[in-house]
Amino acid sequence: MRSEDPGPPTAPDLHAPAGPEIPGAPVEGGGPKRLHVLSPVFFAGRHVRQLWPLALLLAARRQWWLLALGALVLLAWSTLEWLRRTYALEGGALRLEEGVLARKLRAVPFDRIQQVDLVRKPLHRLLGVATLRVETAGGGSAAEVDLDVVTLPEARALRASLLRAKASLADAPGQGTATRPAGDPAGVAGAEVAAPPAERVLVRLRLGEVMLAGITGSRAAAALVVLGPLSQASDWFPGLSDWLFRRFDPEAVTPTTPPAFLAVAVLGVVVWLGLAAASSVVTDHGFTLARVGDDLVVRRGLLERREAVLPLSRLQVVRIEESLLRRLLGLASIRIQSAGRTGGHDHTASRLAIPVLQRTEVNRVLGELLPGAAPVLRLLAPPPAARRRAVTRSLRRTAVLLAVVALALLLLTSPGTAALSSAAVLVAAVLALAVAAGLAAYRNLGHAAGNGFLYARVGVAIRVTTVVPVAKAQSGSVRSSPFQRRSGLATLHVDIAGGGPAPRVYDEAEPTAERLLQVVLGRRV
Amino acid sequence: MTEATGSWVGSRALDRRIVVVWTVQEAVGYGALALVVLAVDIGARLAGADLPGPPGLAAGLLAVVGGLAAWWLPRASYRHWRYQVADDALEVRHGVVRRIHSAIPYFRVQHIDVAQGPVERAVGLARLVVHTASAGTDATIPGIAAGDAEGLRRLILARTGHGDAV
Repeated sequence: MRSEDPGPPTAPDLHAPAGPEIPGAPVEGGGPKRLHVLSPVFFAGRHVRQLWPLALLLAARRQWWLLALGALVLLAWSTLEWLRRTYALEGGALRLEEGVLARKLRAVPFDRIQQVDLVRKPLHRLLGVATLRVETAGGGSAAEVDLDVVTLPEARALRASLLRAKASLADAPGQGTATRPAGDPAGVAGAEVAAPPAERVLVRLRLGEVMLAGITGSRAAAALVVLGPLSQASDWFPGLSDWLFRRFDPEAVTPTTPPAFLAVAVLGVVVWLGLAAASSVVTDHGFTLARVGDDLVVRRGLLERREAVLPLSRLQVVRIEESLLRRLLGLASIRIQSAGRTGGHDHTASRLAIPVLQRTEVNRVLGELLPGAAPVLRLLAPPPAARRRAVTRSLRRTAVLLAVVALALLLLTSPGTAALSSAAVLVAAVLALAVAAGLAAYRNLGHAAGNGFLYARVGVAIRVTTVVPVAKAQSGSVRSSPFQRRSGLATLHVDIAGGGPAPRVYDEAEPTAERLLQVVLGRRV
Repeated sequence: MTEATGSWVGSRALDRRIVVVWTVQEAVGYGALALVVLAVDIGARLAGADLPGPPGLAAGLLAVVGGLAAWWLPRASYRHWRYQVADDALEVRHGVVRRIHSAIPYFRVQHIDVAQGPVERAVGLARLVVHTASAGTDATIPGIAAGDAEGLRRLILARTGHGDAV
């Protein structure tokens, strides 16, 4: 109920600082509650993050008293915010009321909740509190409600209640009304009685595996791509190296002999891989994927512990990714795509991913995520016309790139005949590589349909196998470019709820693509 | 205007008047572009730039190309457009260069918009935009007689059933 009355909430005295609560105890009802007493500190911290240029300015001018006054005002304002901010689980929704001057009420119906996360930064862990993040369908900041902060037991109990309320709502249409009194708004009363379900760990990564994930993952590769051009920077800015040399003694710093060069190169690679491993440890330390009831729970993080919960029924697509390096090492990674994530503003893409996995484990985990989907069926190769197309496409792309580079070089330099002949050899080598890449792209293409699942594989260096439950497909289409039509080929697109790339079956024979569309529509399986 | 169509069975073409709508839209687009090019051309010449050719050549060429495109594209597009209100799904086939056959099961439909631009309103047409939980779904049916659009919307919505559809 929205009230224009700016008075305090009904019974302020009852809202003493939340003490430790028994997990699983009823949190519904009991009227609106305040967040933890320490919340103003976190509010103030958030404001400071927005106002830091001003603070820096004041500090630079040594106006300390103004700075102190500002801090006091900020803390007072944050305290007011805390006083005026309440949450409640009422009427089948999570209701958040806030605002000092203008009152704002947000109500998130239980059945709209997509995901409930527990975020614990180092300060949170020190103080024994947590931020509860409730996400709804749709993207952007409007799709999130943050309760920052509540005590850890309170956060756990709230999350359990929200997810159970949601689950019992989702079951309601199928079970009919007989199982529950019609008046019960959210079925929470019944849900509270049920004991919290047991937890079963599906994947747990050791420290070494997390480091391996960093070294073999895209982080390391991306960094090497950045490092390459950077080493050329001194060529583009001749003044830069002069300046650097004046700063640091050139004799001591620049390696002049070949062994020294090699040592520096090896050292650079080692440092680089170390950094990749370290950053992987920071985000994924102690990675655990577990099944709790009908939910998937992911826990990870070294400094900032993250705990994400995804109801299995929201799972849309599972992607098995194998880069060239990981294939050589017998490794893979798995990405999970769920509904209600169109924004991708958070670390959403990697949040529900298994960073690294033995390839032999893939089928076991896939079977847990999508019952009936494992083992991955034998994939059918597309028709030979697709091979010609893959090679042509790769060659065309490379030729365009080569032409641009050649043109740029011709305009910027005036090469001699010797340079031209060596360039011709280089071009031939690059084109041969392009043909190899095209053939690899064709080899990696494949699809299969069966058991209510569609499997599609694509990729050159990184091979991605997408597993789509046919029951999750929103719609589908068969598309063909003029080039494809000339070879009798077409591509199947499957549209899936939520963000992320749409699963596709590339370059299949047109009748096959049409038949797969019928499978997607559920007309034939 | 159009008689209220009783049956939606079978593969159907769009209302022929959509060609007028598309032609006007294409012509306006290319016309505006040609005007901008003309303005830049004349402005540059007045500022003393030495451009090749007589003034207005680029704009004229653009107008000719645009005119041909505005004539040909809508007609080709119309020829390739088919939609079918099947038992369990809406099926749409269209595309001149890139051919697309998309199908949307009714029970996936979240909501349907009936939209009308100014040109469409002038000729008495509407377009139906079908939304599912996926942003990738391609389901806009242009060129439905304004009097029929509401009926088609209701027909599809009546078949969607209930549930979350995710």
